[in-house]
Amino acid sequence: MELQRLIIQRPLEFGSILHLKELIPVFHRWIQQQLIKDHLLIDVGDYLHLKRDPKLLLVAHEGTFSVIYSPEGLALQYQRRRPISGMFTQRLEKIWNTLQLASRLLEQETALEGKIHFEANRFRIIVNELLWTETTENAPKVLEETIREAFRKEAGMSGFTVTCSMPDTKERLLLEFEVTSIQDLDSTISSVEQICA
Amino acid sequence: METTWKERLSGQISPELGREIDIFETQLELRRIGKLDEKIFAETRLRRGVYGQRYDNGRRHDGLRTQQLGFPTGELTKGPETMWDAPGMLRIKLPFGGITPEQMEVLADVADEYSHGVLHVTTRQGFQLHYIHIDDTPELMRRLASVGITTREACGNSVRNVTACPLAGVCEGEAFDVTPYAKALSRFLLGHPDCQDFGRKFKIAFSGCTDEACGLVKMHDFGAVARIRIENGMERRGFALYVGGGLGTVTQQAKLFDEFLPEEELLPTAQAVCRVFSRLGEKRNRARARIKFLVKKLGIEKFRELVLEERKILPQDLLWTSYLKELPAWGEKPLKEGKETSLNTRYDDFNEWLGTNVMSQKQKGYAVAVVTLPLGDLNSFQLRQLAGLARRYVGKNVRTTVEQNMIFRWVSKADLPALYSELEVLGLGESGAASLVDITACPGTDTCKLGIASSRGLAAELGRSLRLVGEDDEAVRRLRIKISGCFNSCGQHHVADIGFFGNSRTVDGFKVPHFQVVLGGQWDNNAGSFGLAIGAVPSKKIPEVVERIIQQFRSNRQQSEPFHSFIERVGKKQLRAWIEDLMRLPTHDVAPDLYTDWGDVREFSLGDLGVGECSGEVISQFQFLLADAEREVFEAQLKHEEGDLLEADSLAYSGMLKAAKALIQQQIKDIGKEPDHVVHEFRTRFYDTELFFDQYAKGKFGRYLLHRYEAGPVGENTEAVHQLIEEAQLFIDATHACSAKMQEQSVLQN
Ligand code: SF4
Repeated sequence: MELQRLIIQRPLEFGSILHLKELIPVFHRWIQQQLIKDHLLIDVGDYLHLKRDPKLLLVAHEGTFSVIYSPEGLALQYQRRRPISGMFTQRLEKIWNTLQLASRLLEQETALEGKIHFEANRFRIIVNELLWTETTENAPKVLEETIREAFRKEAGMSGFTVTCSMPDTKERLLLEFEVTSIQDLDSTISSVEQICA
Repeated sequence: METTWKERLSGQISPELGREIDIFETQLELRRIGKLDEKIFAETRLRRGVYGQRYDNGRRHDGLRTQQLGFPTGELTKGPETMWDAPGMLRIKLPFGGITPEQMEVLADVADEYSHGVLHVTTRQGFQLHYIHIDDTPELMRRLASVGITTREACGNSVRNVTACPLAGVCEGEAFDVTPYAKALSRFLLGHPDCQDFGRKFKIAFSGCTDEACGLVKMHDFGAVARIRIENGMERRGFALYVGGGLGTVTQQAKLFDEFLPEEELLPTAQAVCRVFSRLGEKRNRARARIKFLVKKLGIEKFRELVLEERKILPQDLLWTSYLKELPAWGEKPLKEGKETSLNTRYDDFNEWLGTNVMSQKQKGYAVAVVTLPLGDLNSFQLRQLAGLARRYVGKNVRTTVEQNMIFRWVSKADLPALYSELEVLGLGESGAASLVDITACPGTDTCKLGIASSRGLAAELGRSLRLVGEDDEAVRRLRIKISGCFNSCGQHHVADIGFFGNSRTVDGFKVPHFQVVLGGQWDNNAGSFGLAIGAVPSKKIPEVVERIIQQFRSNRQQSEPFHSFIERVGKKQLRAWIEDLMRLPTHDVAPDLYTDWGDVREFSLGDLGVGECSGEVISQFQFLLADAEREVFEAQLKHEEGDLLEADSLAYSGMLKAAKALIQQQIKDIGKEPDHVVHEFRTRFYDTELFFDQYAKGKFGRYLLHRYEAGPVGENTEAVHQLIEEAQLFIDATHACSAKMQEQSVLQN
């Protein structure tokens, strides 16, 4: 089956001090200006009362952006909701680029006065499609290899550490990627270290 | 290898549920290709729990202007003014709030995949998922059905989720456990033919006793309070039955229908009430279509008389009493042995949680623990982990509550400290259940199409600001706050000590979100009385209103005077005087923030209000049956294309029978499914009388049905099956024409 429902997260740099409420007017303005390419931005969701994720949502027809607390701290997440046509690599590239665009917009957001910086070398991918995980033999390995290939082909990245984790069988398949270079993710990186077998 | 959930779950879904979902999937397809009218489809999906959500009319005010939301499927709609691609809500029924660990896990999974990982517990003990795309709903329903959950009749003009005290079966004060009765009635009425032609929704509640609040029976269309009567030295079970209660703009306390309805009469009486409601309830004016208006119009005596007459002529049904035979074996099984233990520790938080969130059960050594959910929300991770906790501590004994929390029943008291620590780790160990900070709020402007003001925004704000209020005063701590985003009362503000419902006022030329303050509603005595509306206050000033009212209650109450008595004694005039100054606002240029709503930086506007779907479109039973008949003929075409000729033949024939039945039901209610019966009635009432005849074709279309009935299946002949399908479509078209003719005649006669 075609894997469509993917989630990508990018953590904020440790020490980013941000009052989450500050993001609400920012997201509303993004909607006013429809700032995310190929997306119909619809609404802002406020879940600050939850002790867990998500904290804030920016809902688009195509997918949802959320601000979450990942184990390492604050992160921006993009959850793809509607299918994308094309090969897996093309779909991944599209999802990846969307998250990159949102991250860059936040970093450059004048109202936030530079309080947001994303980590340059880490991201996580979650397979939000139980049927795929359950029906794909050795799903973590397949996913990891497919993603590695996709990044090599589409983004020209060839070297990064992959930490594969699936903390609880009831939770979704999650892969953590760590780039083994201080260069940011858009750059080509050599030296591959594969942890996930 | 399975590539769809349908394939993967085959064998795990009851055939009946599976078939229903397949049918819904076909209806979805029919609507997509324009073969199903949008109004009929809207009511069809509502009856499957697929509800609209704010902005689904394709418009949203972004604070500067109203944006047209250009969804990819363009003009395709899933109902009047409801765009196909727009995010929607799915309402999930859990009769009496019962939920198993397995169900929790599947709910968590579907929340992750089709929503954004958040689940919302409703004030009717169900769940809601938001931001759902309609294309995902059949798959989602199948996954729920695989663990025995249905969304059927969760919305629309139907019997909604049957609620019951969450403490039923473990409460000291109950007459008996109402759970099996709630379960039986819920099953009996689900999809029942007598419940398909209501003008509006129908809500049922059960309570184990009269005095406590849990069941809220008196605000329901149909409410049953457990009673025991001694007859000839023997205990006999029954119910005090109430009908015609309701909130909304016109509140009404339910009327006592019967002081003691014997248990074996519960189901047939409910059926008779549904029939009378179907027959005589208002259909055109939605605002007056709830059963409370019918009861008021007829008076309870006349209403009772009609129901009892109807009861006498109901065809006997074994289901009325078959469940009673299983009652002796009914009962929940605790997972662990109940152990009494000394619970006071030196940890303040745990002690506080014990004080507010834990109640002893009538069964020695066991307790009920409330998991407080802020605004009724929890995320998928928390729900999955709760499933794990349930497996370790209580097994299947978990329920949701109308106060939007969850409860673990049958917790061995010795396990309470461990359970608390685990809840704490999950962020679910908050104390304060059923207290001032455990605020109930409907979805309001967050997601509801009818929301005027932000009920959830206000609830979140009050939750924060009241955290420490009343720590020194139990009577204050025990006050309940409930908030609705508009007058429709989904937040049940009428039965709160301090209630609010959203409205709007124009001040200084600007629209300003307000809340009407409603004080002194009675939660006890099964929602024994409704609160008093005092006046509308700008949303941003509501925390001050609460502070003042609490302060007055602290200083001026007489000894142990309950809050509602205090409100009654003080009176509306004085109450209003206490908050009058808060009703006014400085000009916009002085305090623009006061002109906005909680948690929303946009300039306030009513431009986002949509058309409500709460009550659904009023679609007649006839329209439904015909739409279903057409769906079967469509499926027959598909089967024909696939080469499954026998199935195609059977579907086309079934479509004709359904259409005929729809016509017959315009004249007589009790008509079974058996072809002999349907064809006989059709022949005598419509064919022999020539009522079904077309001006030019005469009896030709009617003969299509009669011929197929007499000749039997056409066999595996592709041409013949194709012809039968064509005939079935023509028969349905003729049914439409016949019904229109009958309506014209009846108008002329009147
Ligand atoms: S009370 Fe009004 S705003 Fe709240 S859910 Fe009901 S209809 Fe919507």
